[in-house]
Amino acid sequence: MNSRAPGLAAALMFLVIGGGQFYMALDLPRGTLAEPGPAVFPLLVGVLMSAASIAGLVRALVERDPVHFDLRTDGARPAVLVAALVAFLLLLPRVGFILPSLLLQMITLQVFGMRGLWRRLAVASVTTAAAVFLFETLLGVQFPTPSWTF
Amino acid sequence: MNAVDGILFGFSVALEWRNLLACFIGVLIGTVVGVLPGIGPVGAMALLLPATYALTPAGALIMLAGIYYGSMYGGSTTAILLKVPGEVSSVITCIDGYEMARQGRAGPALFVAAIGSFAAGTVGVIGLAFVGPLLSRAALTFGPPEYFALCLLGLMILSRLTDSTLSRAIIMVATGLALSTIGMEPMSGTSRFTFGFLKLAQGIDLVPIAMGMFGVAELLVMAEQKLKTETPISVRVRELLPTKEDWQRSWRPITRGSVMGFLFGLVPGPTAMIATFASYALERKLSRHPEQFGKGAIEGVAGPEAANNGAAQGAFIPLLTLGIPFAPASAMLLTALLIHGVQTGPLMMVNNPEVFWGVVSSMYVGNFMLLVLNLPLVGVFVALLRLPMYLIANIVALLCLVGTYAISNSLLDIWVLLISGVAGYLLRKLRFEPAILVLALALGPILERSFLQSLYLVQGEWMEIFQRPITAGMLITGLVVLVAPALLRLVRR
Repeated sequence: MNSRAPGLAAALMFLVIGGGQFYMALDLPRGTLAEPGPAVFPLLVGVLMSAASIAGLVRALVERDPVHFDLRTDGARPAVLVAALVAFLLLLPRVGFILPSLLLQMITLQVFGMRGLWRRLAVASVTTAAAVFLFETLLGVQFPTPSWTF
Repeated sequence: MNAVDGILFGFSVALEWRNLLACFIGVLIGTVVGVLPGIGPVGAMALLLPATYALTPAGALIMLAGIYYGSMYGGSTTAILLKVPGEVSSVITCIDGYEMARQGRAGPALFVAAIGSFAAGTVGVIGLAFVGPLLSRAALTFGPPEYFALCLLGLMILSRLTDSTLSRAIIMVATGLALSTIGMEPMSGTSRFTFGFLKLAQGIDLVPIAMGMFGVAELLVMAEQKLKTETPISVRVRELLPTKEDWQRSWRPITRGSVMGFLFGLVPGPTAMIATFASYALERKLSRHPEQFGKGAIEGVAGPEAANNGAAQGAFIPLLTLGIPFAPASAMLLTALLIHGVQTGPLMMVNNPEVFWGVVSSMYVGNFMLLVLNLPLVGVFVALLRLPMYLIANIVALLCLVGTYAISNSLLDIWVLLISGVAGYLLRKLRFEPAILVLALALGPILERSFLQSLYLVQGEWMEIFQRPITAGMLITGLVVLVAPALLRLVRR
């Protein structure tokens, strides 16, 4: 995107977040200035974020050197990696650590340019075994047990 | 306990074999993290947090602090041999360090960088030992309004010291503060913005956010750029020693850089990087041969390398004496201290002298270890750089996930890690500075608590907060920092 769109979109998103926080904080007790309630600080933060976002919107409109970022071309490889991480997170509580770890690593190694399916599988297996030994055996971390339900 | 007694007591703590081992592991991991791209010192500190549960509070902090200043050493190796800064604070070393390496003088460049870092470490320890108690005593007079003003001052300075525009920096501050409001309110215990998740009542943990913003986001950037493994310039141990002329040209920049770095470290923000740029500019100005800068001037390595380590040591002062983190790495140390039940602030020196003085003295021990470790083993660290990028990325990805999960066996934490990783990547692309967000998240609870306590204290007469001299002084300083650049621009027109 060689335009002002990314900067404008970001400022708008933060404006929505700031406004959202302000709106939700209105439901909390406000108290008085002498005995402030839990709403006071979030309300101030909401105002600060909204004001800065409006300034950001104006700046994005007049910026001489706008942000150049195209998610379709720049973000292709990162998107594959994010998808692999999401898959890892979804599978972890259902099938335990080993299979999601192998899958994630196979994809990560490919994204970063390692050739050969069997080589990737070998590396992923060794690293998974090392992680299980380090974290489960030595440090006593309990990975989720498989529930086998989808 | 005076400073000398404190340092001696600290050495008795730092030289216990468990703490020595913790220090060694810390500086070793720090060096590796500094050499390799991907995870960074903050991510590495977050990863090792669970491993510190078995240690004493002093041991935990000694190890985590070792990672931080160890990474400053490691970052210079790649800057000199590859022209790739392992850490942002080594960017300036790339200029003359790499030129020296190309001219076959990589050894002296590495040696001077190591000696400069060691000298800065020494200055830092002395500074910590003498300035720390003074600041702690001064901080005992601080009430909630002063803490409120100090946190605000920190955030104001931070907003101005980064590359972001002011509006982007304030958005990051507000986002960090907004995240810090999730969970229980500090005064009444009212639950806020938890969206039905019971775990969110405890608030958003700093660790998954920091790991996401610094670890996962870096991984996504690396994936986008498809970084390749570079071949570093080789260096032999016998080629390390500098000549007599190198020494003569280096000792003054090292001294100036050490003091300058330490002073910069006291200020919030990415001061280690700024200190290196300031040191480089100063040395160039003072040099009899400014034309050699950029073509392999040893002063251009000596000064900045001392400055970045000095700043790393100086950054511990606000944390250890006031309990306020002014850098993401300090925020991680604060998290570790809280996990270990150590109350930070001006009374830490009295209530937990073994932690305060143990950490201060361990920095000297750690800097000595780094000197002994890094010079003879430079070949080993260089060999790490020959590891294929896919292996490094793969290990970083797995460590981020499992390391975050290991902290509290929570799947929610890994989701937070992933979301903040993606957010961190997008923020970088959109020229926002995620470090500000992380620091605001760490400062948020302190800021809110001191703000609410201040209002209670003055019975709602809020103007009284600004009539206290220290509070007023800090807030005026902050406002000047915020508006001065805009005013200067107006004046120039």
